[in-house]
Amino acid sequence: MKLISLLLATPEGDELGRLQLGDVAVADAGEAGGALRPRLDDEMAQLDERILSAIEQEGMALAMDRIDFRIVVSRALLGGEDAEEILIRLPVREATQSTNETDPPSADRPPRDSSSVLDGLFDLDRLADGEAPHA
Amino acid sequence: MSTTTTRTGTETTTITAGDVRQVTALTGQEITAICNAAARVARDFDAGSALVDCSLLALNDVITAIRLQFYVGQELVREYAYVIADQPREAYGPSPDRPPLGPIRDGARVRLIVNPNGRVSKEFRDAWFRQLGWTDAAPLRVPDGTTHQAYGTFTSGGYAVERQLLVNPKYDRPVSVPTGQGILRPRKEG
Repeated sequence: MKLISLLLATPEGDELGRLQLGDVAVADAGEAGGALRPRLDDEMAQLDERILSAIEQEGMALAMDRIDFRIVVSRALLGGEDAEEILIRLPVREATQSTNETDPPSADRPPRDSSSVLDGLFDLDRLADGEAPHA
Repeated sequence: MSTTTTRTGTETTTITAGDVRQVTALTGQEITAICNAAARVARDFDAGSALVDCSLLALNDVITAIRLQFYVGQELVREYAYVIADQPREAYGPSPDRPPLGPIRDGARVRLIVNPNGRVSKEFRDAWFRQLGWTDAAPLRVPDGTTHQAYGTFTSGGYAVERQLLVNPKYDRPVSVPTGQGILRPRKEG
């Protein structure tokens, strides 16, 4: 079984950090047993939910449409045969980010600078130093 | 029901992508072998990227079958179908590098189509096909009195495809079963 990690990046491609996805594992060929035909639609829908929930918990939202999202996830799952874990790179934006750049900051939503989206995310530099990510 | 296991009291969802990858890889290997054997008519046919799309479509349950079709005009000459099984199957049949081959007449063309899965919403299916650049394909004409032959299955875990061969009796031996309507990626035609 392989675990899944999300590599979150801005829509422009700047990497923000990495999240390990809990409670989901990807089975190698034959590893899930052969008694039942897999219900792939259910599995993929559950994976969608876990990923979107993990992103949401970081105060962010997916910055791509749902089919593109599925394509990215599916490519990662199908291409991860030799990797120790499945790494899925996803573009995200701040969940509270206004779509209208001229909107003034509201009183109950303080302005956030671009570095604030890193809050709560695992730092890639620390990952390279061997520290464990937080889920 | 999805495959789940319980680990230290937490329900873990298991994604069976490895089985889909294995079966579609075997399917791709066989389709490549067929195209190589029919290189005279399929030399410009690029199955590679279409097969990658097929893997994505299969993993998301968008399709029920992949069909490699050789045809003349609007008439089927020979078809290799890989029909996704509803339940686990035993593997049998020739290895993917030794599929049953036969004559393909000069002037034949080749195309790869898929059959949409009617159990998922049309909106969902259409979004996938649109995003991957696939379009509707007109069914080919199949002569009366034909039969089809199942010649093997590719399996991994509980996931399987049945391998079926259709041959137009005008060009070879008797075959059957209409090919039905499918989804075509026309740029992949050779």
